[in-house]
Parts: sequence; C-alpha cells; structure tokens
Amino acid sequence: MDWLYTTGALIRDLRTSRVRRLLSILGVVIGTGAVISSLAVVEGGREQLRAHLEKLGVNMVVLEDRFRPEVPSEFEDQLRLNQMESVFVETWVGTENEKNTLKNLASEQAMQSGADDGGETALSGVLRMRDVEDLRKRFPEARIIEPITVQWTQVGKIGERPFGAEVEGGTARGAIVRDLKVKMGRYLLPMDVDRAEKVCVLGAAIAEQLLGDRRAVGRYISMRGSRWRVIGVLERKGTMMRFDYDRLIIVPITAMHERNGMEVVNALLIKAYDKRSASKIRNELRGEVLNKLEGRNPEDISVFSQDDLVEQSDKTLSTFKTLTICVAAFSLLVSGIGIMNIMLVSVRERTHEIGVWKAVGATDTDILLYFLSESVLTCIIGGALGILLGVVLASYAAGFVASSVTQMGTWKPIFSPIFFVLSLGSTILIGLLSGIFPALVAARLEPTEALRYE
Amino acid sequence: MYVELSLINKTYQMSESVSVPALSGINLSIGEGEFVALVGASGCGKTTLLSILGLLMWPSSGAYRFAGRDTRAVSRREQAALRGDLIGFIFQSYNLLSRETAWRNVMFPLTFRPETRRTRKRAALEALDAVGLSNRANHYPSQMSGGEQQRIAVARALVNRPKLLIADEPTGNLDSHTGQEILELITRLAGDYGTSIVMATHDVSVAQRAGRIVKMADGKIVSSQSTEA
Repeated sequence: MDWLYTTGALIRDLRTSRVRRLLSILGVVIGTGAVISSLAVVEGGREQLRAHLEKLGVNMVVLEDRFRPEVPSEFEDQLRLNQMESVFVETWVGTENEKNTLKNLASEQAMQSGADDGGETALSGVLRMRDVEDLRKRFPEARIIEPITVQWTQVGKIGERPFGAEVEGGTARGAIVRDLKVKMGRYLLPMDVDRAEKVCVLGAAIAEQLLGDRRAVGRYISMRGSRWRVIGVLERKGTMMRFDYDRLIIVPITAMHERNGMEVVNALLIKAYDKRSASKIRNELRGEVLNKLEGRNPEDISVFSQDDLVEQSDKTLSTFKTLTICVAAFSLLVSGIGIMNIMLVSVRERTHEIGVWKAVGATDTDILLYFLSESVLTCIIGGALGILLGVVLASYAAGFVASSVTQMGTWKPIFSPIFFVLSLGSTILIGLLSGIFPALVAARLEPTEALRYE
Repeated sequence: MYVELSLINKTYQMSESVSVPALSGINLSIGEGEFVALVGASGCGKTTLLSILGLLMWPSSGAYRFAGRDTRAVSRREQAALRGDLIGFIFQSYNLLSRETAWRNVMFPLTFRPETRRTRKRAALEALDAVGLSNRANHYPSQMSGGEQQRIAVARALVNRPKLLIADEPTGNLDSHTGQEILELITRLAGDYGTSIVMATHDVSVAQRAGRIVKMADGKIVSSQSTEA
C-alpha cells in the first residue's frame, strides 16, 4: 500500500464530512486539552515548590497553636479611636508634633481603659515568651526560634472605615527566618520589640490599599483602636507557608501583647542548623510544647516542616492531576465511542466503494489499515486541536489552582515535550481502539456483497 | 486455456432452510486474447459467473483454474493479488471514486502494487491518453459525461495490462453511439494487450462483436457459439 497516496486520500475523505467529524472529535479535543493543561499546571506548581525551597532554605519548622483566646472587642477599640480622631480634628490648635504626642497619649489612655476591663489576663495553657526562652535552651539544634502571634484585626486609614486584615506580632529575626526583604524603610529592630513600639511593617499589597501610591513610611494607620507608625514596606513575595506576605501587617510582638492585654504566642518560627536537626525538632517539639501546656487539646498544636508543606502541596497537586486525568480519560473514552460510531457510518456509506477497492486488488489488510488510519488521523487532528486548547487553558487553570487548590503564590504552567508525546500517544491509542472494530467490519466485507450495496 | 471452469455450481444460502441455486454444472474455457460474450435474461446467473471468473466469489463446488492455478488453493490475500495483477473490471455504473480525480481513479489499482509513485502516475497518464482523456486528467467524475466516466473506467481496468477483462454490461448505461465507441475502445486496447474479455450483455449488437457468444439460462450454459463460423 502506498502510504503517501493513502494519507492524501484520507485527507481528501476527511474534508468531505468536516462538520460531522469535528463534532465527533470534540471529546478528544477536550480530553487532550484537559490532560495537557493539568500536566502543565502541575509541573508549573512543582517548579514553584522547588523555587520555594530554594527561597526558604530547607531547614525551617513551624509550630502552630490554633487556640485563640478572646481579646477585647475590636469594634469598641475602633469606636474609641474614631471618637478620639474627631475630637482632635475639630479642636486642635497646636503644632502637628504636639498634636501627635497628645493623640498617642489619648490613644494609650483609651487602650488602658479598655484593658482595665479585663486587665493583663493571666492565661494558662498558652505559650508565653518565657516558654520560648525555655525552648531555645531545650533545642540547641535550632539556630533561631522566634515567637509570633497572628490575629485577624480591623485596620484602616486614620478616620476611615476599617477592614479586616491579618496582623502578625513578630520579632526582628522573623525576617531572617523567612527571608523577608524590605522594599521601603526598614524591618522591625530589636529595639522596637524591647520597647513595644507601636510601629508596623506592611505587605506590598496592603500598603497600597491603605496608603495608595504615596510614600507609606512615616505615615500612620489605625489598628485596634490606636495609631501605628509605618516603618517599612515589604517586597512583593506572594503566599508562603500559609501566609500571604503581600497582605500581612507585622508589628512588634510585645506591642501586640500590650495592646491585647495578654501575652500569647500562637506560633513559633524555627530555623535549624541542618536537615537532621530540623527533623529532630519536627519530631520532638510538639511533645515538648504539650508538656508545657497542661490540659490543652493536643489537636490544637501542630508542627510542620517545610518538607511537610512541600509534600502536602505536592500531594494536592497530584490529586488535582489524577482527578483531571480521570475526567480526561472519561472524555476520551466517550469520544472514542463517538468516533467508533462515525467510523461505522463511514464504512457503511462506503460499502460500495470498498467493493470497488477489493475488485481492483485491495487486500483485507489494505482496507483494515486504511480505515484504522482514518480513525487514527481523525484522533490526531483532535489531539492537535486539544493541545492548542490545553496550552490556552493551562495559563488560566494555573491561576485558579494556585489560588484555590494550593495556597502557594501564582505560577506559570510548564510544558514539557513529553506531555505532547503522551497526549498524542493517547489520542493515537484512542484512534486505534475506536477504529479497529469498524475497520474489521470493512475488511471482512465480501467483494460481491459490497459491490451490490447501494 | 487461460481460464478453465469445470462443473461449477453456486448456491446462495439465504437462511438455514432456504438456498437459491445460481449456477449449475458450468463448464467453460477461455483462451488467451479471446472475447466471450455472456448473454441471457436477467437473473440467469451472468453476474454470478463473472464474479467467480473475477475471483470475487468462490463457487460452491467445481474447479476453476486461472492462469494455470487451481483457485481453490489460493488464500483471500492471493486472490486479491491475482485480481490486482491479472484481472480488470468494468461495471455498468462505472464505479469511479467520486472524491478522486480522473488520473487518480485510473492509478488506483496500482496503489496496491509495489511500483514507484512516479511509475504508477506515468502508467495512469498513459492509460488516460489511450482512452483519449488526457485533457480531463484533473477532472472529477461528477464533472464528466457518462461516456467519459466509462472511458475512465476502461483506463482503470486496463492500466495494469490484465490478462482477463471482466465487463458487466459496460454499455448498459450509455446511448448506442457512445456504447459502440466504448466497445471499440475495449476491443482495441484488449487486442493491443492480448487481454481475454468476458462481457455480460443484453445487447445483441454488442454480443456480435465477440468471438464467441455463450448463452445462459437458469444458471446453466445452454449454448456456446463462435461468431466467426
């Protein structure tokens, strides 16, 4: 059989029933598109994970305490601050510096009156700063153990309607552990923490939201009923280890404790010297902390290393991939049935022609191969269109998966040549499987019966 | 003899209990270059006999020797090869491939042979030239008249220089003038190539052009007369 001629004949044949064939290959297009895009998205995600690892270093461990003791009402805080602001705006006649000093004083008094209701609460069963000191001694393998307190707080521009944001009480070394870089101003200094200064470092996105394009450093924002001076803005970093650093506000942990009226540490950031130390800390830290916090629900305390997060994200990505491939496989299967159907129609329509082929010397194998090629070629066209669809879909899917399925920053899909080979391979397989039965029907036709068929 | 049928029977098995005899006790020999006309009423078994002669169908019993070979011993694949190499077919309704141009239709039987593409194309164009349709090489069947389509079919049947040409009512769909032209063409080219012809026809004037007229009735050969006598 002359394959060049046959391919040409196939293409000429395919052109005669374009709409019907296009409809029959829709499933292949969608299936292949789904396979290509999911593989590219997952590969992109894995690459993002690798980049994460490089950025963070490999020896990080995080302890998280999910228990959140109640803090004084934020609404009341805000109300106090807004009232204070309006009084100042309306009545002040002195200099700006004097105004600020007085405002701070008033703000602290307002806070004090709020704290008086509950006072410095002596909570039991929570991690405190002195526990962190104990842990530093207990785990010499840790290069850094830094406490943080994270809470959802109402923040806003002075005098304007507040909105919810995640505020982290941290220390100066928190930046080192997570490799946070400051775009403008500076990060927290030990001095800020020692003095419980009401200063804050803003994530890039929240800085823009709060203060617009104008220079943020040196200006004030309202938070939990008092004014906090912006000392720095972080570089854009995206989401890492469950924190969206672009929307985070970081204040000295001591200032946060003072403002809350209670000293609670709800997470520890640990950087170990090496991988083995990280592993040891990861295994022993939880037990150690639970020993300290008597009566606490062990499920509140979780310890995870960076490897755990990577593994978890990887698992999520793999699940996503498996799910998409299952959907794609189902779509290909259904499409295969559709193609088999159209091939049977094609064989029936050309029964008389098959008779002529046989009369002029075509063997059963020639006929079998021709119809098999037709179904494979149909699928390859579907596969090629599917690859195009997959390339377009992948960029949208990557954004969606990044934001909803995993909690990592956005990433770009990565297309490896093997994906295209795999996709085309699977479409060829579908073509073969769906074409074999119609091709056999055609090949087994008796020449005289075929010639008689009208 | 090039073609030799002895005691050929063919029965169509319609169902387990119903069988229809189509041919019975056919004995027929055809020499090289001979032109045999098969005549008889519709349903007398002409087409069945042509199908057996053209190796498109197996007889129910009897022996058929073709080109010195006992066809009972050849496989389906060998049958196809024999059809492709040694037999040409012309049908009443032309049976051209509608999606292919004239020259591709003529070249089609060579597609299954090992010649190079260039050789095949040259042979097809020569055959088209021989039937006087070189200028229609790139036309599709739908763009040609019935007579032209049958000429293309003749070129296709003879492109591989067959030893046996099977023609089933080749002038049946044509007016008498065109029919005569086609008949002239077939006999001239078959004569040039030394091809034997077996032609089924209802047309007495067509049958008269043959060297021998074999008359059939009810699946049997009732007479076999040479027209030269």
